[in-house]
Amino acid sequence: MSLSSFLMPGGASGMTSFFSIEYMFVFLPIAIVLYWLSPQKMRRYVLLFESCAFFWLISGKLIAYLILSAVSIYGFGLWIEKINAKKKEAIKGLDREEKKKVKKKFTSRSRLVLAIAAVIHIGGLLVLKYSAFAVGNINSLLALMNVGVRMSVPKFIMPIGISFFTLQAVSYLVDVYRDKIQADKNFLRVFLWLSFFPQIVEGPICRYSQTAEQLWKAEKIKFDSLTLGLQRIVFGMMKKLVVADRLNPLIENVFNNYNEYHGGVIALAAVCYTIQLYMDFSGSMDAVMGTAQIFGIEMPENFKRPFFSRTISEFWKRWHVTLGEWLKDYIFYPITMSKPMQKLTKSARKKLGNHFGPLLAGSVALFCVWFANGLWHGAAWSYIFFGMYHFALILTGRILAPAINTVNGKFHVNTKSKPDQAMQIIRSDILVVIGELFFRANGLRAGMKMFGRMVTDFSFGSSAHALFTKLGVDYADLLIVGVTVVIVFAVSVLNEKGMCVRAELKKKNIVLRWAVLLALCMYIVIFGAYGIGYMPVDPIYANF
Amino acid sequence: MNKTLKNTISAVLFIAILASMLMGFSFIMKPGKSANVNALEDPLTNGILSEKKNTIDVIFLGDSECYSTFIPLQIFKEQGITSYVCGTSDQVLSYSYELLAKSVKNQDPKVVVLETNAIFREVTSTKAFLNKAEGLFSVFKYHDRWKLLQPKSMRLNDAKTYDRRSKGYLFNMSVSPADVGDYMKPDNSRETISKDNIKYITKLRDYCKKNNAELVLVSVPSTKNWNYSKHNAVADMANNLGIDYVDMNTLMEEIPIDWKNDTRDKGDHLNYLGAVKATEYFGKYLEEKKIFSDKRKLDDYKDWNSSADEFLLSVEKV
Repeated sequence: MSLSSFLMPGGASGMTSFFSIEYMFVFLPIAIVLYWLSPQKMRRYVLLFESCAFFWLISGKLIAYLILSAVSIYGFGLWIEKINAKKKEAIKGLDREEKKKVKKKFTSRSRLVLAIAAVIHIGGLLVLKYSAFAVGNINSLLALMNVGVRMSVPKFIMPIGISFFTLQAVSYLVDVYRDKIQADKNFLRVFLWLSFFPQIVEGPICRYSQTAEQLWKAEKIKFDSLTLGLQRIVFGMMKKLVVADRLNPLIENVFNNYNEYHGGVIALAAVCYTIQLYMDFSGSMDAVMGTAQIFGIEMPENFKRPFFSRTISEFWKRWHVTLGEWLKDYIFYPITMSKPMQKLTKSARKKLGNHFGPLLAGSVALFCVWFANGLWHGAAWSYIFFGMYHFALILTGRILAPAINTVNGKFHVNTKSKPDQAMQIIRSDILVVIGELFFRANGLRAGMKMFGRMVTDFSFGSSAHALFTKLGVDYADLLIVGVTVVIVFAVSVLNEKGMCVRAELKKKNIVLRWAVLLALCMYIVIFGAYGIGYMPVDPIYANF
Repeated sequence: MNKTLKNTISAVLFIAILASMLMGFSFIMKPGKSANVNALEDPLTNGILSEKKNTIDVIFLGDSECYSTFIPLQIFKEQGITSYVCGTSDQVLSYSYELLAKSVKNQDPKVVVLETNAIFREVTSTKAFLNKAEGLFSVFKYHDRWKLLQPKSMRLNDAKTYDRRSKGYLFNMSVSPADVGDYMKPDNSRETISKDNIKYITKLRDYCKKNNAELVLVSVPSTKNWNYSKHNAVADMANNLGIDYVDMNTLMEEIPIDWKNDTRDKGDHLNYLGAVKATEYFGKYLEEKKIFSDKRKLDDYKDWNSSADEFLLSVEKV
């Protein structure tokens, strides 16, 4: 690789995939060696330099957004902290009533500062990510109303990862406002927390209290953390290269030409896409967590075996966990705890009782959460529909809960029995697959048509041989995907039982340990979907 | 033993075992005959190697722009000139040269066309690394042959073979309109062409001359990949090296591309509708050179006629 191309800002966009050659065999080894060779005091700065270099390489001058975001939360954080400190000073020695008054005065002041900061961040994200979608819709509406005026559609270049680091930035400000954390007086620590390179492309969305201190400590790389981290990266690589990328031609083919396929094939593609999305995103998360582990950083997990969920609510507590937690803490709770909502709950409780009363206010908050969730994934109606679909499922579940409990009681259904739990898991997974069909479809209209075909024409149309030829896969592809899914499933079952496979493996003798690891490496080399005949597939979540 | 030393030894040992396993599998996976390798690598492009000796008049080189634009069977049908597209995704000039050298062993082309998009592509770090890794451990290159090592019932095809039905053209009928914007707005700027790539163009020109062929540079219509800055740079270089240059992006009247219907991916590549227009122009351009004989009625080229009919029939069906 020529030095010029390496130094070309934004030119290394291939690095957005943690399994690219650029990242895995060039950037990461250099980053580890540089960090390892640096004296203790310098390590944190080396990590910051590496994070900036990474962002510069993938986004070029758009790094300005990241720097501005860090400067802004640093400044606003200190401002809010100052108001909070003044408040604490002012209420000293006051009686209860006066305390309340003074508190209110300062709180409204800090709330105003928080609002300005949040508007800057969320507003910036809205303008960059959603203005074209909004203008497009306005233009469609004008056309429908036969108004001759059209607005020009704005075009912005978005830095990679903006959806992730903006949420982190807002969480910092709100946590300072809520007095959960103290505003950091060290700008570089804030910047390092916001920009740490493994998390910037696809998350996880870390809170300041979770990783800032660990990053700043910049512990020495330990041999154990290095090997465990690398093992996790290799396992993630297997998920991405062997399963996600191998399924890609089939999925692309069906979703782009759904008119040519019967409902059974569309259902197969929807199942394959759900598997692909999980393997792609959780595989990338393994790479992120593994990289962080090498540097001694423990990050919050983003996946907790989501396909073992018995309800949709549980699914979202296990899938993209840090996004769900963010939406819960910074949208759901503020709305449910707001005065108008509490008032609504109170009056609804009187009229509708203890179950449906609070549910009413909760459903308003839930609607906002799922609207935001859908929109966060992308500026399109299909994503909004995806959010609303889950909102409807969760709300229906909550509304029907008392009736279902009564029916179960009457018929003596043991909901904790294994067959019943298995049925619940299968039901949730089917609902998830339907949601992912809309999520992946090329627009809401296409999603509706595909779903319609799946329901009204559930057949495969031709022989398996002819079908696979058309889909661009063969039995061997499906066999290897199946074997790998079984491996991942087995590891998930063990994890679900509380066993950490990597930790268990570490206890075994060297021959067995190495045999497993070498087999895993060779498995990826031979069965990975790369090289001749395969197009590299970008990580799916890096686009959100 | 010191812990650091022990860790270092185990890491080195692990890597050594992994490397030996990679070498072992490289030995198992490598195909025996070179012809099979070509068929396995790129059946469409390498299909030229299975064409009858000295039957190809024109060879097209370049990246996906090339195999999305030139339709050899249309040129044959309209002008009676035989051609073959040796286009591969993300083609770099070193590979264009390699493909030409491989093809010329069996063919005697009069014109070699290089699509110019490849001139602005440098060898990426990924490719350089992969090339080196593939040289050392061929299992990276031939890993997919595990499919050939299974029982026959597991596979749909025994092995990949040459595919010369479309003479290297890749049919695509999708439509995704392009936003034309400032496409080909004249200006005086000049994009930089790397020294390495200028060297390769010179090498290609000289190689063609040595083999009694003429090198022609062609820029095919693409709103996404082409602009005036690139046009100026290529025009200057072609002038300096004494090579003919045709920029289809400037010939909007002669090649009336409708960017709403004639592109498959928002102006990046032409679809079949656009390719027909571009090919029609280029077929006439070749005919005007008056160096080709009409082969449509020759017995030796009967299979070209039947291939063209089959191709057009399958297009009509779509």
